[in-house]
Amino acid sequence: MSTMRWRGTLIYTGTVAAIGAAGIARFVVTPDAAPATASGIGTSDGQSSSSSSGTSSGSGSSGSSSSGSSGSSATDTTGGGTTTSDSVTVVGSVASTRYGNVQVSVTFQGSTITDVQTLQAPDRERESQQISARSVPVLAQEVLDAQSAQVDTVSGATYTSEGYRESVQSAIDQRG
Amino acid sequence: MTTLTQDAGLHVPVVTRPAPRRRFPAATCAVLAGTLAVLAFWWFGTPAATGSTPGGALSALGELAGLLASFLVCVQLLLVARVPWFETAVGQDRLVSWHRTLGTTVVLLVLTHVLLMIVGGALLDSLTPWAEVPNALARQPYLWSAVIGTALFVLVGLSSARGARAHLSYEAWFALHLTTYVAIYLAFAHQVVGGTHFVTALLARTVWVLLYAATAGAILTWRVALPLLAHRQHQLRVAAVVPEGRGLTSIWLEGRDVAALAAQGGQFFLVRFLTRGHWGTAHPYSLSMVPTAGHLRFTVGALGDHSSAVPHLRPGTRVLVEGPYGRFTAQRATAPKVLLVAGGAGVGPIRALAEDLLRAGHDLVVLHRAHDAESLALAAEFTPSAALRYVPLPGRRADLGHDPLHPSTLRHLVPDVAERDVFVCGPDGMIAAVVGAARSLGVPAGAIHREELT
Amino acid sequence: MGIPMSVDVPAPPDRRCAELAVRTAFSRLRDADRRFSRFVPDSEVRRFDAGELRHEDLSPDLTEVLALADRAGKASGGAFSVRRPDGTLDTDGVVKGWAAQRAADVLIAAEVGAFCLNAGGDVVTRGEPVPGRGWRVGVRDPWDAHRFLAVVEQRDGAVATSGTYERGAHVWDGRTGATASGLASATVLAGDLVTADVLATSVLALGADGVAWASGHGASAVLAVTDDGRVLGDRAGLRLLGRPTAE
Repeated sequence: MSTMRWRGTLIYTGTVAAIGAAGIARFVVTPDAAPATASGIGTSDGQSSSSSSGTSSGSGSSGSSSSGSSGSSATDTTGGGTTTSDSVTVVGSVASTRYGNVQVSVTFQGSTITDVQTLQAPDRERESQQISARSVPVLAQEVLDAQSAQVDTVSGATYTSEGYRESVQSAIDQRG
Repeated sequence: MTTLTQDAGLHVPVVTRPAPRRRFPAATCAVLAGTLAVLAFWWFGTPAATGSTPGGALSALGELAGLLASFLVCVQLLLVARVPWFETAVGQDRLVSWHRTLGTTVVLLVLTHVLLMIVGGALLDSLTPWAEVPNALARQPYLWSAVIGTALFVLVGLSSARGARAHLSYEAWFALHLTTYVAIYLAFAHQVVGGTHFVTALLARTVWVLLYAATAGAILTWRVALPLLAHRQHQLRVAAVVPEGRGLTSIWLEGRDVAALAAQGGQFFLVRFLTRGHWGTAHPYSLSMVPTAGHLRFTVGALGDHSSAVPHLRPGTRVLVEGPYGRFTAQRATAPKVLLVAGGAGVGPIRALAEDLLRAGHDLVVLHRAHDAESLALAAEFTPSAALRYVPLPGRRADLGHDPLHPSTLRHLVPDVAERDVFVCGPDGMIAAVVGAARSLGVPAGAIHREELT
Repeated sequence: MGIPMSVDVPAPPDRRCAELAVRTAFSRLRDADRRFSRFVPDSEVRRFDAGELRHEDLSPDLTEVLALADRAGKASGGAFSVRRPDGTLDTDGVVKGWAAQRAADVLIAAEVGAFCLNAGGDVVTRGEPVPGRGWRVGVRDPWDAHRFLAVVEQRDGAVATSGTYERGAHVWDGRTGATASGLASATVLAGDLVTADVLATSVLALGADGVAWASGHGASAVLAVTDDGRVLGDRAGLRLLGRPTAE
């Protein structure tokens, strides 16, 4: 048992030095991109897959019918082509989110849903009764002008990436 | 401990001998590579903006400390999983030594992690550290079990520290040590479920789980499954228990396919007697002869609780062995001439080693130290010959008036010591004395081989 | 779907926990987008539509979304439909709100305190950004992105708007197959975003009749603007506009 008594502590000390160096390299040396806002987290802009495969509505702006929907016109599963399949009831497994369980059973006749039963759902209905008591209009005319910076967020129709940039919401987000 | 003094004017003959080869530290490289990988994982998962507040920076560093500690825990476990690759690359005694070393490091890193997370979190939430603790416990998943696991882990670490270890019986210490598995299990969930680097990265979670699963698999394979299979293959039983002079006892085991164990002289096994009072302990016992077709022999001194119960073992008792372990073997010799020094129970492995060395054609001198002539166990087995010179050195140093292993005495007894490899086994103090004397007489460090009796 | 999402958590009790929750919320939204997108070739929706997946193979999420869509379709007399006139399965009308509500659920469960989540113009709010007042949600004027029809103050609730001014006439009337016309935008306030989103789409599909219909189907307030600029609302909605009600 005559190995170095302090070898373990020495390795620990070296590791702590390495951790410190990593911290300095990461946080001090690398330029800091986004300054943290003073109040809480501020807004994080998550563009979900805006670059991928044309999900932005550039292709869908001619929203009407045919153009842009690639390849699906060929297969029309709703056309009743499927013959007499008996009705099938599928019980979904419990969507086990920690935020509530959701379980639905769905009865299909062919490809048409003929019945739906909700077996479990996070109980949101209760809130809607309380909501009307809490929605309060803010009426002053000057508030309706966006320049007055009194609005926390904006509800509008689905944004395209371009529309978003121009929108008020974007201004709010940047303001933090 | 003897104080070593160098005689002035010692003539050290210049000897040419092949330079000992250094072992390539493949295992060290693997561990370092893994550490760098963990560091890189942390780096790319931590945005630079996190460090814009001191609280954020401290928390991020705390996470790094936690990641490193968690990785090193796996390394620690693998070191004692009895994986054959590690055993041959590093050696069983060094594996245990490194396991102990890393234990200190990991415990300290874990405590560092906890401290940084508390302080960092307190700064972020504008709370005192005292208030941050219940806050974090309430909000982080599985943190309570992590706290319990950590406390257990630290307790195990403390019990293994040199000061505390001496006060515990081997059985008590080992039982406590086994709870490490529980501690690790309790602390694992909070890493993959709550760790910010894992929560949104399925790949990272998968890799981490696989790392731990592989470690667990290694342990289950080489510490549980394979020894049980070997037991069924060899069917070892106690054949006889023979006293060998004062305080030493030889245990003979018989079984099938003993040669398949491929044990060499100087190696040891972890031996577990399957009978009341001995189930719980696997003791490291060195072979005291090279195994024959159907027999093994260990010669055991009265060390620790169980060794004193050994003379009372009944023939027919079933035995579970794991091994062979150890690099104290004839292959390590770098010169044709060899000096073997045995003290106390160290005569067992020396006796087995001598057999292998003789068979390989080496010229041997054996120095055998004991308290008195009756304690010179196995003396009769060292048959003097042209290739083997046996020198018994009984007597306590106080009675003799000098130290038989002092450099000048050693030079007198073995004039060509500088040309010999030295294999020494016995009590720690004796080993230190012999090594020091040999070095001072010109034996290169790479030609000195030692085995401590735990 | 290509939805921009922003989250505002003004004063989380535990900032690290909140950061974690926000990251999880984003990843949940991205995940839903991948799976339900009509434009990603191997999304679950496309594969189901193409017949590669059977009903039993569907994930619980898609099953739930289809069930919600079906209920909405029945409630609206068929005006709300996830089948486009050309037959493709298009769940956008329900999935956006559903996914954003799921993301908001993460924040609720993580107890981050007050927050405001805005996913592509659908809003979920909770609590008070500053003590004493609720979140101020502005409802956009269809023809001027910098003006509001109304500003609503609410603590816990959801606001969804469906309109033709960004993506053109992308909502169709499931009963006739024609693109819905008549309304330029419809805004619904409700307790949860799934309800609000589905109702907003349904109102747009139903046209002016939808305003009264929606308030009987779970909306706590409805506001709509016709193509020729008239503003309609149910009783609660009119109150929000500051108009005197008939009673």
